[in-house]
Amino acid sequence: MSESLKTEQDSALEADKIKKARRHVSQNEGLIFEKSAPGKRGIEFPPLDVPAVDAARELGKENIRAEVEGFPEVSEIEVVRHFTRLSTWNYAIDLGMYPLGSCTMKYNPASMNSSRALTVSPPSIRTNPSSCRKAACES
Amino acid sequence: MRYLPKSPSERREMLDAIGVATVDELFQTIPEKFRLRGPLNLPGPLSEPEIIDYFKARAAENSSGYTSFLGAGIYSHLRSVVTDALIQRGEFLTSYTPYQAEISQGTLEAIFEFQTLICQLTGQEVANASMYDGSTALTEAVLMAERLTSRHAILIARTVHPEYRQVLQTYARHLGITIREIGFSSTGQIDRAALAQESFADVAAVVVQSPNFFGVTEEISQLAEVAHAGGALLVDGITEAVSLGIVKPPAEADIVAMECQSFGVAPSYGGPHVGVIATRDKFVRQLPGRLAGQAFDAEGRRGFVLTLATREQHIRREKATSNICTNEALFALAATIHMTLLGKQGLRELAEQNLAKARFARAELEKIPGVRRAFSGPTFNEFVLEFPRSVKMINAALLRDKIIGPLAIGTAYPDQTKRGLVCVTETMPRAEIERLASCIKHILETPV
Repeated sequence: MSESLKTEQDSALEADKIKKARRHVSQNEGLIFEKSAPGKRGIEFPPLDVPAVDAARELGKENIRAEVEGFPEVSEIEVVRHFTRLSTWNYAIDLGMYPLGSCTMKYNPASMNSSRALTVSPPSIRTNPSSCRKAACES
Repeated sequence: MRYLPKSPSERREMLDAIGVATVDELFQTIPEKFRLRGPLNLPGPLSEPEIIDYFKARAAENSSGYTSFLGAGIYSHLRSVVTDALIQRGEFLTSYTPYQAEISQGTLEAIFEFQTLICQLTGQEVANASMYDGSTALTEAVLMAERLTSRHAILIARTVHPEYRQVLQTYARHLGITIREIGFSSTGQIDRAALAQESFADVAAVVVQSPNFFGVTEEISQLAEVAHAGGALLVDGITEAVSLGIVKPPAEADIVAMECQSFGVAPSYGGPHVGVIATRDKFVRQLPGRLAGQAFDAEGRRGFVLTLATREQHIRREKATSNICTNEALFALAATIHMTLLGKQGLRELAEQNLAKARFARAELEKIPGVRRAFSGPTFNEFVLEFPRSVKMINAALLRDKIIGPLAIGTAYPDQTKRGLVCVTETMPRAEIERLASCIKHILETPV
Protein backbone atom coordinates (compact mmCIF):
# COMPACT_ATOMS: atom_id res chain seq x y z
CA MET A 1 0.00 0.00 0.00
CA SER A 2 1.47 3.34 -1.00
CA GLU A 3 1.98 6.13 1.53
CA SER A 4 -0.75 8.33 0.09
CA LEU A 5 -3.43 5.64 0.40
CA LYS A 6 -2.88 5.09 4.09
CA THR A 7 -5.73 6.18 6.27
CA GLU A 8 -5.27 7.70 9.72
CA GLN A 9 -6.46 4.44 11.18
CA ASP A 10 -3.77 2.52 9.29
CA SER A 11 -1.11 4.87 10.61
CA ALA A 12 -2.34 4.37 14.14
CA LEU A 13 -2.23 0.59 13.71
CA GLU A 14 1.25 0.84 12.23
CA ALA A 15 2.46 2.82 15.24
CA ASP A 16 1.17 0.10 17.57
CA LYS A 17 3.25 -2.61 15.98
CA ILE A 18 6.45 -3.69 17.64
CA LYS A 19 9.39 -2.91 15.39
CA LYS A 20 11.76 -5.62 14.22
CA ALA A 21 15.25 -5.71 15.66
CA ARG A 22 16.56 -4.53 12.34
CA ARG A 23 14.64 -3.42 9.32
CA HIS A 24 15.95 -3.66 5.83
CA VAL A 25 13.98 -1.12 3.94
CA SER A 26 16.69 -0.06 1.54
CA GLN A 27 19.64 -1.56 -0.20
CA ASN A 28 22.50 -0.63 2.07
CA GLU A 29 24.73 -3.69 2.35
CA GLY A 30 27.96 -2.85 0.59
CA LEU A 31 29.81 -5.28 -1.64
CA ILE A 32 32.10 -7.76 0.12
CA PHE A 33 35.05 -6.16 -1.68
CA GLU A 34 34.36 -2.94 0.23
CA LYS A 35 35.02 -4.71 3.56
CA SER A 36 38.37 -6.07 2.45
CA ALA A 37 41.57 -5.21 4.30
CA PRO A 38 44.99 -6.79 3.74
CA GLY A 39 45.81 -9.83 5.86
CA LYS A 40 42.29 -11.03 6.72
CA ARG A 41 40.94 -14.45 5.74
CA GLY A 42 37.98 -16.61 6.67
CA ILE A 43 39.35 -20.13 6.34
CA GLU A 44 42.42 -21.95 7.55
CA PHE A 45 43.95 -25.21 6.43
CA PRO A 46 45.77 -27.90 8.37
CA PRO A 47 49.53 -27.35 8.09
CA LEU A 48 51.15 -28.87 5.00
CA ASP A 49 52.49 -32.35 5.88
CA VAL A 50 54.75 -32.73 2.83
CA PRO A 51 57.69 -30.52 1.74
CA ALA A 52 56.65 -27.18 0.22
CA VAL A 53 57.65 -26.70 -3.41
CA ASP A 54 58.80 -23.75 -5.49
CA ALA A 55 55.87 -23.06 -7.82
CA ALA A 56 57.98 -21.11 -10.32
CA ARG A 57 60.35 -24.05 -10.66
CA GLU A 58 57.59 -26.65 -10.86
CA LEU A 59 55.31 -24.89 -13.32
CA GLY A 60 57.73 -22.54 -15.04
CA LYS A 61 58.06 -18.87 -14.14
CA GLU A 62 55.99 -17.84 -17.17
CA ASN A 63 53.11 -20.11 -16.13
CA ILE A 64 52.47 -18.77 -12.64
CA ARG A 65 50.54 -15.75 -11.52
CA ALA A 66 50.97 -13.09 -8.86
CA GLU A 67 48.20 -12.80 -6.25
CA VAL A 68 44.63 -12.53 -7.53
CA GLU A 69 44.16 -8.79 -7.93
CA GLY A 70 41.05 -7.54 -6.13
CA PHE A 71 40.20 -10.82 -4.37
CA PRO A 72 38.61 -9.92 -1.03
CA GLU A 73 40.34 -10.31 2.33
CA VAL A 74 37.73 -10.65 5.06
CA SER A 75 37.25 -12.59 8.27
CA GLU A 76 34.71 -15.38 8.88
CA ILE A 77 32.26 -13.27 10.88
CA GLU A 78 32.31 -10.59 8.16
CA VAL A 79 31.41 -13.25 5.60
CA VAL A 80 28.61 -14.60 7.83
CA ARG A 81 27.17 -11.13 8.44
CA HIS A 82 27.43 -10.03 4.82
CA PHE A 83 25.60 -13.03 3.38
CA THR A 84 23.08 -13.20 6.23
CA ARG A 85 22.20 -9.55 5.58
CA LEU A 86 21.97 -10.18 1.84
CA SER A 87 19.56 -13.05 2.50
CA THR A 88 17.14 -10.66 4.22
CA TRP A 89 16.67 -8.78 0.95
CA ASN A 90 15.25 -11.81 -0.77
CA TYR A 91 11.64 -12.78 -0.93
CA ALA A 92 11.25 -16.56 -0.68
CA ILE A 93 8.77 -19.41 -0.30
CA ASP A 94 9.72 -19.57 3.38
CA LEU A 95 8.47 -15.99 3.70
CA GLY A 96 5.28 -16.21 1.67
CA MET A 97 3.45 -17.47 -1.40
CA TYR A 98 4.93 -16.98 -4.87
CA PRO A 99 2.51 -16.22 -7.70
CA LEU A 100 5.37 -16.69 -10.20
CA GLY A 101 7.20 -19.86 -11.18
CA SER A 102 4.31 -22.20 -10.40
CA CYS A 103 6.40 -25.06 -11.80
CA THR A 104 9.10 -24.84 -9.16
CA MET A 105 8.07 -22.55 -6.36
CA LYS A 106 6.37 -24.98 -4.03
CA TYR A 107 7.15 -25.92 -0.48
CA ASN A 108 9.66 -28.74 -0.19
CA PRO A 109 9.33 -30.47 3.17
CA ALA A 110 12.35 -29.82 5.39
CA SER A 111 12.78 -33.58 5.90
CA MET A 112 13.53 -33.98 2.18
CA ASN A 113 16.31 -31.43 2.44
CA SER A 114 17.78 -33.17 5.46
CA SER A 115 17.60 -36.57 3.73
CA ARG A 116 19.33 -35.21 0.65
CA ALA A 117 22.17 -33.97 2.87
CA LEU A 118 22.88 -37.57 3.90
CA THR A 119 24.57 -38.12 0.55
CA VAL A 120 26.94 -35.16 0.93
CA SER A 121 30.08 -36.02 2.80
CA PRO A 122 31.00 -33.52 5.50
CA PRO A 123 33.92 -31.22 4.73
CA SER A 124 36.70 -33.05 6.52
CA ILE A 125 40.17 -34.29 5.89
CA ARG A 126 40.84 -38.03 5.80
CA THR A 127 42.66 -38.82 9.00
CA ASN A 128 42.18 -42.54 9.43
CA PRO A 129 44.91 -44.35 7.54
CA SER A 130 44.67 -47.38 9.77
CA SER A 131 47.79 -49.40 10.39
CA CYS A 132 45.93 -52.69 9.97
CA ARG A 133 45.00 -51.78 6.43
CA LYS A 134 48.60 -50.88 5.73
CA ALA A 135 49.65 -54.22 7.16
CA ALA A 136 47.09 -55.92 4.94
CA CYS A 137 48.54 -54.46 1.78
CA GLU A 138 52.09 -55.28 2.70
CA SER A 139 51.39 -58.82 3.78
CA MET B 1 -2.80 -32.12 6.06
CA ARG B 2 0.70 -31.41 7.15
CA TYR B 3 1.95 -29.92 3.89
CA LEU B 4 -1.37 -28.44 2.79
CA PRO B 5 -1.73 -24.93 4.14
CA LYS B 6 -5.54 -24.66 4.21
CA SER B 7 -8.15 -26.31 6.44
CA PRO B 8 -11.55 -27.56 5.08
CA SER B 9 -13.32 -24.48 6.41
CA GLU B 10 -10.76 -22.15 4.85
CA ARG B 11 -11.21 -23.98 1.52
CA ARG B 12 -14.98 -23.66 1.81
CA GLU B 13 -14.58 -19.94 2.37
CA MET B 14 -12.39 -19.62 -0.74
CA LEU B 15 -14.76 -21.68 -2.91
CA ASP B 16 -17.71 -19.57 -1.75
CA ALA B 17 -15.79 -16.40 -2.59
CA ILE B 18 -15.35 -17.47 -6.22
CA GLY B 19 -18.75 -19.10 -6.48
CA VAL B 20 -17.66 -22.69 -7.00
CA ALA B 21 -19.31 -25.57 -5.17
CA THR B 22 -16.44 -28.06 -4.98
CA VAL B 23 -12.72 -28.25 -5.72
CA ASP B 24 -13.58 -30.90 -8.30
CA GLU B 25 -15.50 -28.32 -10.32
CA LEU B 26 -12.24 -26.49 -10.96
CA PHE B 27 -11.04 -29.45 -13.01
CA GLN B 28 -14.16 -30.05 -15.09
CA THR B 29 -12.57 -28.73 -18.31
CA ILE B 30 -10.38 -31.86 -18.29
CA PRO B 31 -12.17 -34.60 -20.32
CA GLU B 32 -13.54 -37.32 -18.09
CA LYS B 33 -11.38 -40.06 -19.65
CA PHE B 34 -8.24 -38.23 -18.54
CA ARG B 35 -9.38 -37.62 -14.97
CA LEU B 36 -7.77 -39.63 -12.20
CA ARG B 37 -10.58 -41.07 -10.11
CA GLY B 38 -8.77 -43.31 -7.67
CA PRO B 39 -5.69 -43.05 -5.52
CA LEU B 40 -2.30 -43.49 -7.19
CA ASN B 41 -0.91 -47.01 -7.09
CA LEU B 42 1.75 -46.14 -4.53
CA PRO B 43 2.59 -47.43 -1.06
CA GLY B 44 1.03 -45.43 1.75
CA PRO B 45 2.57 -42.16 2.96
CA LEU B 46 5.36 -42.25 5.51
CA SER B 47 5.81 -40.03 8.53
CA GLU B 48 8.90 -37.88 8.88
CA PRO B 49 10.86 -40.26 11.16
CA GLU B 50 10.04 -43.15 8.81
CA ILE B 51 11.25 -41.16 5.79
CA ILE B 52 14.47 -40.22 7.54
CA ASP B 53 15.07 -43.81 8.66
CA TYR B 54 14.48 -45.00 5.10
CA PHE B 55 17.04 -42.60 3.62
CA LYS B 56 19.53 -43.26 6.42
CA ALA B 57 19.33 -46.96 5.63
CA ARG B 58 19.85 -46.27 1.90
CA ALA B 59 22.78 -43.94 2.64
CA ALA B 60 24.33 -46.65 4.83
CA GLU B 61 24.45 -48.92 1.76
CA ASN B 62 27.12 -46.62 0.30
CA SER B 63 30.67 -47.80 0.78
CA SER B 64 32.68 -45.76 3.22
CA GLY B 65 36.23 -45.52 4.45
CA TYR B 66 37.81 -45.48 0.99
CA THR B 67 40.68 -43.20 0.03
CA SER B 68 40.18 -41.85 -3.47
CA PHE B 69 42.78 -40.55 -5.89
CA LEU B 70 40.18 -39.62 -8.48
CA GLY B 71 39.84 -36.15 -9.93
CA ALA B 72 39.27 -35.80 -13.67
CA GLY B 73 36.79 -32.97 -13.48
CA ILE B 74 35.40 -33.34 -9.98
CA TYR B 75 37.64 -32.60 -7.03
CA SER B 76 37.64 -33.33 -3.34
CA HIS B 77 38.43 -30.10 -1.50
CA LEU B 78 37.93 -28.83 2.02
CA ARG B 79 34.74 -26.87 2.50
CA SER B 80 33.82 -24.58 5.37
CA VAL B 81 30.67 -25.35 7.36
CA VAL B 82 29.99 -21.61 7.04
CA THR B 83 29.18 -22.10 3.34
CA ASP B 84 26.72 -24.91 3.97
CA ALA B 85 25.06 -23.03 6.84
CA LEU B 86 24.61 -19.83 4.82
CA ILE B 87 23.22 -21.43 1.66
CA GLN B 88 20.69 -23.30 3.81
CA ARG B 89 19.06 -20.02 4.86
CA GLY B 90 15.48 -20.21 3.61
CA GLU B 91 15.71 -16.77 2.04
CA PHE B 92 18.39 -18.11 -0.31
CA LEU B 93 17.29 -21.74 -0.55
CA THR B 94 13.63 -21.06 -1.35
CA SER B 95 13.82 -17.85 -3.36
CA TYR B 96 12.77 -17.72 -6.99
CA THR B 97 14.94 -16.75 -9.93
CA PRO B 98 15.60 -12.99 -9.59
CA TYR B 99 13.25 -11.64 -12.27
CA GLN B 100 11.86 -9.03 -9.91
CA ALA B 101 14.77 -6.96 -8.69
CA GLU B 102 12.83 -5.32 -5.84
CA ILE B 103 12.42 -8.65 -4.04
CA SER B 104 15.69 -10.28 -5.11
CA GLN B 105 18.42 -7.86 -4.09
CA GLY B 106 20.16 -10.51 -1.97
CA THR B 107 20.55 -12.97 -4.84
CA LEU B 108 21.39 -10.25 -7.37
CA GLU B 109 24.13 -8.70 -5.24
CA ALA B 110 25.60 -12.17 -4.55
CA ILE B 111 25.57 -12.95 -8.31
CA PHE B 112 27.25 -9.61 -9.00
CA GLU B 113 29.98 -10.58 -6.52
CA PHE B 114 30.27 -14.04 -8.11
CA GLN B 115 30.77 -12.51 -11.57
CA THR B 116 33.37 -10.10 -10.19
CA LEU B 117 35.33 -12.88 -8.45
CA ILE B 118 35.28 -14.97 -11.65
CA CYS B 119 36.68 -12.06 -13.68
CA GLN B 120 39.45 -11.54 -11.12
CA LEU B 121 40.29 -15.25 -11.20
CA THR B 122 40.23 -15.75 -14.97
CA GLY B 123 41.67 -12.42 -16.09
CA GLN B 124 38.60 -11.89 -18.26
CA GLU B 125 36.46 -8.75 -18.43
CA VAL B 126 32.96 -10.10 -17.98
CA ALA B 127 31.45 -13.29 -16.52
CA ASN B 128 27.84 -14.44 -16.50
CA ALA B 129 25.67 -15.50 -13.57
CA SER B 130 26.74 -19.18 -14.01
CA MET B 131 25.94 -22.19 -16.20
CA TYR B 132 24.81 -25.75 -15.41
CA ASP B 133 28.33 -27.12 -15.25
CA GLY B 134 31.75 -27.01 -16.89
CA SER B 135 30.80 -29.24 -19.82
CA THR B 136 27.75 -27.23 -20.89
CA ALA B 137 29.72 -24.01 -20.30
CA LEU B 138 32.41 -25.24 -22.71
CA THR B 139 29.78 -26.16 -25.28
CA GLU B 140 28.05 -22.80 -24.92
CA ALA B 141 31.46 -21.13 -25.36
CA VAL B 142 31.83 -22.96 -28.69
CA LEU B 143 28.34 -21.86 -29.78
CA MET B 144 29.30 -18.30 -28.82
CA ALA B 145 32.43 -18.52 -30.96
CA GLU B 146 30.35 -19.81 -33.87
CA ARG B 147 27.99 -16.84 -33.59
CA LEU B 148 30.84 -14.35 -33.21
CA THR B 149 32.84 -15.56 -36.21
CA SER B 150 30.04 -16.91 -38.46
CA ARG B 151 32.33 -19.90 -39.02
CA HIS B 152 31.26 -23.49 -38.43
CA ALA B 153 34.26 -25.69 -37.71
CA ILE B 154 35.90 -26.33 -34.34
CA LEU B 155 39.41 -27.57 -33.62
CA ILE B 156 39.40 -29.22 -30.22
CA ALA B 157 42.34 -30.76 -28.40
CA ARG B 158 42.06 -34.42 -27.44
CA THR B 159 43.46 -33.26 -24.10
CA VAL B 160 40.06 -31.69 -23.34
CA HIS B 161 38.00 -33.79 -20.90
CA PRO B 162 36.52 -36.68 -22.95
CA GLU B 163 33.07 -36.20 -21.42
CA TYR B 164 33.12 -32.47 -22.18
CA ARG B 165 33.89 -33.40 -25.79
CA GLN B 166 30.92 -35.78 -25.78
CA VAL B 167 28.60 -33.02 -24.57
CA LEU B 168 29.93 -30.79 -27.35
CA GLN B 169 29.39 -33.57 -29.92
CA THR B 170 25.80 -33.98 -28.76
CA TYR B 171 25.06 -30.29 -29.29
CA ALA B 172 27.05 -30.02 -32.52
CA ARG B 173 25.41 -33.00 -34.23
CA HIS B 174 22.30 -31.11 -35.25
CA LEU B 175 23.75 -27.63 -35.49
CA GLY B 176 25.92 -28.14 -38.54
CA ILE B 177 29.13 -27.69 -36.57
CA THR B 178 32.10 -29.75 -37.74
CA ILE B 179 34.45 -30.90 -35.00
CA ARG B 180 38.05 -31.80 -35.77
CA GLU B 181 40.18 -33.24 -32.96
CA ILE B 182 43.87 -32.42 -32.52
CA GLY B 183 46.12 -34.97 -30.83
CA PHE B 184 48.73 -34.43 -28.14
CA SER B 185 52.50 -34.49 -27.95
CA SER B 186 54.91 -36.12 -25.49
CA THR B 187 54.49 -33.13 -23.15
CA GLY B 188 50.81 -34.07 -22.75
CA GLN B 189 49.87 -30.77 -24.40
CA ILE B 190 48.00 -30.17 -27.65
CA ASP B 191 50.14 -31.18 -30.64
CA ARG B 192 51.21 -27.76 -31.92
CA ALA B 193 52.67 -29.17 -35.14
CA ALA B 194 49.40 -30.91 -35.97
CA LEU B 195 47.49 -27.73 -35.13
CA ALA B 196 49.73 -25.73 -37.48
CA GLN B 197 48.90 -28.08 -40.35
CA GLU B 198 45.16 -27.53 -40.03
CA SER B 199 43.33 -25.28 -42.44
CA PHE B 200 41.74 -22.45 -40.49
CA ALA B 201 39.42 -21.43 -43.33
CA ASP B 202 36.11 -22.12 -41.55
CA VAL B 203 37.41 -22.47 -38.00
CA ALA B 204 35.42 -20.57 -35.37
CA ALA B 205 37.51 -21.63 -32.39
CA VAL B 206 40.45 -23.59 -31.13
CA VAL B 207 39.29 -25.30 -27.93
CA VAL B 208 41.72 -26.39 -25.24
CA GLN B 209 41.61 -27.11 -21.53
CA SER B 210 44.21 -25.95 -19.01
CA PRO B 211 45.19 -27.69 -16.84
CA ASN B 212 44.03 -30.29 -19.34
CA PHE B 213 42.60 -33.77 -18.81
CA PHE B 214 46.14 -35.11 -18.22
CA GLY B 215 46.70 -32.40 -15.59
CA VAL B 216 49.14 -30.56 -17.84
CA THR B 217 48.92 -26.79 -18.35
CA GLU B 218 48.60 -25.63 -21.96
CA GLU B 219 50.49 -22.63 -23.33
CA ILE B 220 47.51 -20.31 -23.59
CA SER B 221 49.19 -17.16 -24.89
CA GLN B 222 50.92 -19.02 -27.73
CA LEU B 223 47.77 -20.93 -28.61
CA ALA B 224 45.84 -17.64 -28.67
CA GLU B 225 48.33 -16.30 -31.21
CA VAL B 226 47.86 -19.37 -33.41
CA ALA B 227 44.06 -19.16 -33.20
CA HIS B 228 43.98 -15.42 -33.85
CA ALA B 229 46.36 -15.70 -36.82
CA GLY B 230 43.81 -18.08 -38.35
CA GLY B 231 40.93 -15.71 -37.62
CA ALA B 232 39.57 -18.03 -34.92
CA LEU B 233 38.89 -17.50 -31.23
CA LEU B 234 40.60 -19.40 -28.41
CA VAL B 235 38.29 -21.12 -25.94
CA ASP B 236 39.88 -22.37 -22.72
CA GLY B 237 38.09 -24.84 -20.49
CA ILE B 238 39.07 -25.23 -16.85
CA THR B 239 37.86 -28.13 -14.72
CA GLU B 240 40.02 -27.40 -11.65
CA ALA B 241 39.27 -23.83 -10.58
CA VAL B 242 41.73 -24.03 -7.66
CA SER B 243 44.57 -24.07 -10.20
CA LEU B 244 43.87 -20.36 -10.78
CA GLY B 245 45.28 -19.64 -7.33
CA ILE B 246 48.74 -20.19 -8.79
CA VAL B 247 48.54 -20.86 -12.55
CA LYS B 248 48.63 -17.80 -14.80
CA PRO B 249 45.05 -16.79 -15.71
CA PRO B 250 44.03 -17.40 -19.35
CA ALA B 251 43.71 -13.68 -20.08
CA GLU B 252 44.66 -14.16 -23.76
CA ALA B 253 41.84 -16.66 -24.33
CA ASP B 254 38.70 -15.14 -25.84
CA ILE B 255 36.26 -17.24 -23.85
CA VAL B 256 36.92 -19.14 -20.63
CA ALA B 257 34.54 -21.96 -19.67
CA MET B 258 35.03 -23.29 -16.16
CA GLU B 259 33.64 -25.76 -13.65
CA CYS B 260 33.53 -24.11 -10.22
CA GLN B 261 32.71 -27.20 -8.10
CA SER B 262 36.11 -26.98 -6.41
CA PHE B 263 34.95 -23.84 -4.60
CA GLY B 264 32.67 -25.00 -1.81
CA VAL B 265 30.49 -27.51 -3.68
CA ALA B 266 30.56 -31.17 -2.64
CA PRO B 267 31.32 -33.77 -5.34
CA SER B 268 27.78 -35.18 -4.73
CA TYR B 269 28.06 -38.19 -7.06
CA GLY B 270 28.80 -35.95 -10.03
CA GLY B 271 26.36 -33.09 -9.69
CA PRO B 272 24.66 -30.71 -9.63
CA HIS B 273 27.64 -28.39 -9.93
CA VAL B 274 28.27 -24.90 -11.19
CA GLY B 275 29.62 -23.76 -14.54
CA VAL B 276 31.03 -20.42 -15.54
CA ILE B 277 31.59 -18.48 -18.75
CA ALA B 278 33.85 -15.46 -18.82
CA THR B 279 34.86 -13.45 -21.87
CA ARG B 280 35.86 -10.10 -23.29
CA ASP B 281 33.61 -7.08 -22.86
CA LYS B 282 33.14 -6.74 -26.60
CA PHE B 283 31.57 -10.22 -26.78
CA VAL B 284 29.03 -9.58 -24.00
CA ARG B 285 26.00 -9.54 -26.33
CA GLN B 286 26.71 -13.15 -27.30
CA LEU B 287 27.13 -14.31 -23.71
CA PRO B 288 24.52 -17.01 -22.94
CA GLY B 289 22.44 -17.03 -19.79
CA ARG B 290 22.19 -13.86 -17.80
CA LEU B 291 24.22 -11.10 -16.29
CA ALA B 292 23.62 -9.16 -13.07
CA GLY B 293 24.75 -5.56 -13.00
CA GLN B 294 24.95 -2.60 -10.68
CA ALA B 295 22.34 0.10 -11.17
CA PHE B 296 20.96 3.15 -9.38
CA ASP B 297 17.35 3.99 -8.56
CA ALA B 298 15.60 7.33 -9.10
CA GLU B 299 17.04 8.60 -5.82
CA GLY B 300 20.57 7.59 -6.73
CA ARG B 301 20.72 4.57 -4.40
CA ARG B 302 22.70 1.55 -5.53
CA GLY B 303 20.92 -1.64 -6.42
CA PHE B 304 21.45 -4.74 -8.57
CA VAL B 305 19.44 -5.87 -11.59
CA LEU B 306 19.55 -8.37 -14.43
CA THR B 307 21.18 -6.20 -17.07
CA LEU B 308 21.33 -8.76 -19.83
CA ALA B 309 19.29 -11.88 -20.31
CA THR B 310 19.20 -13.00 -23.92
CA ARG B 311 17.42 -16.24 -23.10
CA GLU B 312 14.50 -17.83 -24.87
CA GLN B 313 12.11 -16.65 -22.15
CA HIS B 314 13.06 -13.03 -22.76
CA ILE B 315 13.52 -12.64 -26.49
CA ARG B 316 12.58 -14.39 -29.73
CA ARG B 317 13.78 -17.96 -29.83
CA GLU B 318 15.91 -17.57 -32.96
CA LYS B 319 17.56 -14.49 -31.48
CA ALA B 320 18.23 -16.08 -28.10
CA THR B 321 21.84 -16.91 -27.26
CA SER B 322 21.00 -20.07 -25.39
CA ASN B 323 18.25 -22.39 -24.35
CA ILE B 324 19.96 -22.83 -21.00
CA CYS B 325 17.16 -21.39 -19.00
CA THR B 326 18.44 -21.32 -15.48
CA ASN B 327 21.59 -20.51 -13.61
CA GLU B 328 22.95 -22.48 -10.71
CA ALA B 329 22.25 -19.61 -8.33
CA LEU B 330 22.52 -21.55 -5.07
CA PHE B 331 25.83 -23.17 -5.99
CA ALA B 332 27.10 -19.94 -7.50
CA LEU B 333 26.33 -18.49 -4.07
CA ALA B 334 28.21 -21.36 -2.40
CA ALA B 335 31.21 -20.71 -4.65
CA THR B 336 31.01 -16.98 -3.89
CA ILE B 337 30.95 -17.60 -0.14
CA HIS B 338 33.82 -20.09 -0.40
CA MET B 339 35.98 -17.77 -2.53
CA THR B 340 35.25 -14.95 -0.10
CA LEU B 341 36.26 -17.10 2.88
CA LEU B 342 39.46 -18.14 1.11
CA GLY B 343 40.39 -14.61 0.13
CA LYS B 344 43.64 -13.67 -1.53
CA GLN B 345 45.90 -15.51 0.95
CA GLY B 346 43.73 -18.58 1.45
CA LEU B 347 43.42 -19.22 -2.28
CA ARG B 348 47.17 -18.96 -2.73
CA GLU B 349 47.86 -21.32 0.16
CA LEU B 350 45.23 -23.77 -1.12
CA ALA B 351 46.81 -23.84 -4.58
CA GLU B 352 50.31 -24.21 -3.11
CA GLN B 353 49.19 -27.12 -0.90
CA ASN B 354 47.67 -28.90 -3.90
CA LEU B 355 50.84 -28.42 -5.91
CA ALA B 356 53.07 -29.64 -3.05
CA LYS B 357 50.92 -32.71 -2.27
CA ALA B 358 50.72 -33.72 -5.92
CA ARG B 359 54.49 -33.31 -6.32
CA PHE B 360 55.12 -35.42 -3.24
CA ALA B 361 52.77 -38.13 -4.53
CA ARG B 362 54.32 -38.11 -7.99
CA ALA B 363 57.83 -38.47 -6.54
CA GLU B 364 56.73 -41.31 -4.22
CA LEU B 365 55.04 -43.20 -7.07
CA GLU B 366 57.92 -42.65 -9.50
CA LYS B 367 60.20 -44.46 -7.04
CA ILE B 368 58.33 -47.70 -7.78
CA PRO B 369 60.23 -49.78 -10.36
CA GLY B 370 58.48 -49.69 -13.74
CA VAL B 371 56.33 -46.65 -12.91
CA ARG B 372 57.09 -43.45 -14.78
CA ARG B 373 55.53 -40.14 -15.75
CA ALA B 374 53.64 -40.38 -19.02
CA PHE B 375 54.03 -36.73 -20.03
CA SER B 376 56.75 -34.15 -19.50
CA GLY B 377 54.64 -30.97 -19.36
CA PRO B 378 54.04 -28.96 -16.16
CA THR B 379 51.20 -30.25 -13.97
CA PHE B 380 49.13 -28.87 -11.09
CA ASN B 381 47.31 -31.39 -8.84
CA GLU B 382 46.81 -34.20 -11.37
CA PHE B 383 49.30 -36.19 -13.40
CA VAL B 384 49.36 -39.27 -15.62
CA LEU B 385 51.60 -42.22 -14.77
CA GLU B 386 52.50 -45.18 -16.92
CA PHE B 387 52.46 -48.55 -15.17
CA PRO B 388 53.96 -51.87 -16.26
CA ARG B 389 50.49 -53.47 -15.98
CA SER B 390 46.97 -52.50 -16.90
CA VAL B 391 45.60 -49.79 -14.62
CA LYS B 392 42.30 -51.63 -14.27
CA MET B 393 44.13 -54.64 -12.87
CA ILE B 394 46.07 -52.52 -10.40
CA ASN B 395 42.88 -50.76 -9.33
CA ALA B 396 41.05 -54.02 -8.71
CA ALA B 397 43.83 -55.01 -6.30
CA LEU B 398 43.90 -51.54 -4.67
CA LEU B 399 40.19 -51.75 -3.89
CA ARG B 400 40.93 -54.60 -1.49
CA ASP B 401 43.05 -52.13 0.45
CA LYS B 402 40.18 -49.62 0.35
CA ILE B 403 41.99 -47.41 -2.12
CA ILE B 404 40.30 -46.04 -5.22
CA GLY B 405 43.32 -45.79 -7.47
CA PRO B 406 44.29 -43.79 -10.58
CA LEU B 407 41.63 -43.24 -13.23
CA ALA B 408 42.23 -45.70 -16.08
CA ILE B 409 42.40 -43.29 -19.02
CA GLY B 410 42.31 -46.22 -21.45
CA THR B 411 38.53 -46.00 -21.30
CA ALA B 412 38.69 -42.74 -23.24
CA TYR B 413 42.08 -43.25 -24.94
CA PRO B 414 42.08 -46.92 -26.05
CA ASP B 415 45.83 -47.00 -26.76
CA GLN B 416 46.65 -45.97 -23.17
CA THR B 417 45.50 -48.90 -21.04
CA LYS B 418 48.61 -48.79 -18.88
CA ARG B 419 48.20 -45.12 -18.04
CA GLY B 420 46.37 -43.76 -15.02
CA LEU B 421 45.42 -40.24 -13.95
CA VAL B 422 46.22 -39.52 -10.30
CA CYS B 423 44.68 -36.59 -8.42
CA VAL B 424 46.02 -35.39 -5.07
CA THR B 425 44.45 -32.40 -3.32
CA GLU B 426 44.96 -30.72 0.06
CA THR B 427 42.56 -33.25 1.62
CA MET B 428 44.97 -36.16 1.14
CA PRO B 429 47.18 -36.89 4.18
CA ARG B 430 50.81 -37.78 3.54
CA ALA B 431 50.31 -41.19 5.18
CA GLU B 432 47.63 -42.10 2.63
CA ILE B 433 49.90 -41.08 -0.27
CA GLU B 434 52.61 -43.31 1.19
CA ARG B 435 50.10 -46.13 1.61
CA LEU B 436 49.08 -45.83 -2.07
CA ALA B 437 52.74 -46.04 -3.10
CA SER B 438 53.47 -49.07 -0.91
CA CYS B 439 50.31 -50.86 -2.04
CA ILE B 440 51.07 -50.31 -5.75
CA LYS B 441 54.66 -51.45 -5.18
CA HIS B 442 53.38 -54.60 -3.51
CA ILE B 443 50.84 -55.26 -6.29
CA LEU B 444 53.50 -54.89 -9.00
CA GLU B 445 55.88 -57.21 -7.14
CA THR B 446 53.23 -59.92 -6.96
CA PRO B 447 53.44 -62.27 -9.97
CA VAL B 448 50.37 -62.18 -12.19
